[in-house]
Amino acid sequence: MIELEQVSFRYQNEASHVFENLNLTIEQGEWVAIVGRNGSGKSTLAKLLNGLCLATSGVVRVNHTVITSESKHQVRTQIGMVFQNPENQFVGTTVADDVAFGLENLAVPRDTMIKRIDQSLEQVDMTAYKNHEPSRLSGGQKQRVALASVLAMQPEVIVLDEATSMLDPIGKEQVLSIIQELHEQLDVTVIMVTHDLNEAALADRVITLNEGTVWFDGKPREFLEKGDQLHEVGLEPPFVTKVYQQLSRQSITVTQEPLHYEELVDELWRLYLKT
Amino acid sequence: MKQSFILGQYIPRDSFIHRLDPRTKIISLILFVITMFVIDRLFIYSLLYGFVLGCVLLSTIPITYLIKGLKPVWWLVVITFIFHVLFQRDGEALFDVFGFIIYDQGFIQGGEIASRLLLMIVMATLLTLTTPPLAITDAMRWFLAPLTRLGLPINELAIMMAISLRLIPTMTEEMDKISKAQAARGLDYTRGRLRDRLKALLPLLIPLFISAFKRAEALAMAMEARGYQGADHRTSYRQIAFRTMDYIIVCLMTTATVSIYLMTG
Ligand SMILES: Nc1ncnc2c1ncn2[C@@H]1O[C@H](COP(=O)(O)OP(=O)(O)OP(=O)(O)O)[C@@H](O)[C@H]1O
Ligand SMILES: [Mg+2]
Repeated sequence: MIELEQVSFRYQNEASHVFENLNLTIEQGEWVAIVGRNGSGKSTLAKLLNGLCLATSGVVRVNHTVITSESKHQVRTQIGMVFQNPENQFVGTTVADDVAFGLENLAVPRDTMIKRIDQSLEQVDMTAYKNHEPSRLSGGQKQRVALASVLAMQPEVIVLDEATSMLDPIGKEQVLSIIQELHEQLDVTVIMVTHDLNEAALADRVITLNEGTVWFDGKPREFLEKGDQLHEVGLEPPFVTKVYQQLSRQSITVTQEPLHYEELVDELWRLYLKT
Repeated sequence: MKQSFILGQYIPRDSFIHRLDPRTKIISLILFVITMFVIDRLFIYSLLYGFVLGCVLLSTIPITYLIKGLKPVWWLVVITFIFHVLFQRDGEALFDVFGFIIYDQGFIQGGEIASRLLLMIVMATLLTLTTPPLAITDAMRWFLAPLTRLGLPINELAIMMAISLRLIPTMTEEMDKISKAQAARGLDYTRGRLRDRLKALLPLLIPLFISAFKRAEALAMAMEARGYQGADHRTSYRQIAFRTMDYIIVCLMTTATVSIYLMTG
């Protein structure tokens, strides 16, 4: 469980706060999407969760441990983080070495390490690339290795900061389906920062940040119902939502607001069959 | 660059030499160099040539590849030899070429020094051709480990080495990208006077440095997020292991070195 209580944060030598008195609770096993315009503090929030940034005032608690400069190392064993740029988080000289890096830091014995490396590469379907150098991998493959590196450490929470934003649709799809699987099978908490509202619609809960405050916190469907209001916080409603809103404007009602293309197509068929 | 000079490159194979522990190879190289410097008998040089040739054959790396890859070295060796032949003033005079008197010692010493240079470079190249850079780093860390007691940050150095090795291809790619981007803006650093060319390099180097710093910062954050707290108290995934063959080779090499030394007295 992650709790933020009256958290304020300001970068050193900066005049203004990124957050002031922020309160937020994320339960174990939730899948949360964090959206918001550039500079709204999404990455900063992510970094507050594993002690890469420490709250200027207020407390951040992970499983009841308050994050301080002493406890942050212990907290990092429970929270894994995948960043945006695949190139800038590949530490090892080969895939296996990269997955090993986190385990070496935790001083995991070597035989356990070998097992966990194989297992986590299996989970992201990268076993065949075990001894490849990063220069021989695509961006999507590197990102899957980054995910494997995090999985090998067996965290309870995985934070993804725009982890799919540099990938093509297929790479994105692969990473997302792996996350979905992990979320369902291992009950890990997933916190996913994203600019893609279609991606955010996959989550159980959407948190929208705007100017350092929580502008919206709730179910994806309620979030998309905001429609044109999303423009206020610098977000573009997805195509599916726009179609739904156009329909509503024409006084054509459907059973529920569609979240993605399949639901929209279902609704349209239903309408077609009714007429 | 890549094809023209091969010192420092690694060619993955599964040969006898490839399979040896990197420490065995480094120790052997050092013993070999010591031998080369203590002896001064011609027939032992033929032994050394035989040894090097044997190593090259065992490594399964094509000799033509070595010959082509070490082209600049051949020139150095030949020039060293000619220089000695022309300017050595000891021993018996043999003949006279355009006023240069050629002595027999010129041939002998020139041959010795050129041979030393040649054999040493071929052996060093063979070490890097048959050993992954990371394994060399691991071996160096093992050799230097006693120095950690004196407070030297050997483990940190090893991690730095490993990360640098990892970043070389990334940076090369980046350099390529930047140089194309600047060429598209009309920059040309291949022509003109040396000073102009050096000046034209600046617009390449500055973006490269900036991006390297940004990358370093991001990488540091990613390392920290994965629990990195300094290079001590970590376990190690990669392992270098001495096998029976390694013990045999080290013993043989030591015996050979010592006996050659005693023989030549
Ligand atoms: N290292 C830093 N030093 C100083 N200020 C920073 C630093 N990183 C971010 N900021 C500032 O903090 C604010 C929030 O930045 P943050 O990176 O959290 O936004 P974000 O929501 O992740 O944006 P993006 O969508 O572009 O990734 C911005 O105003 C930014 O300028
Ligand atoms: Mg960000």
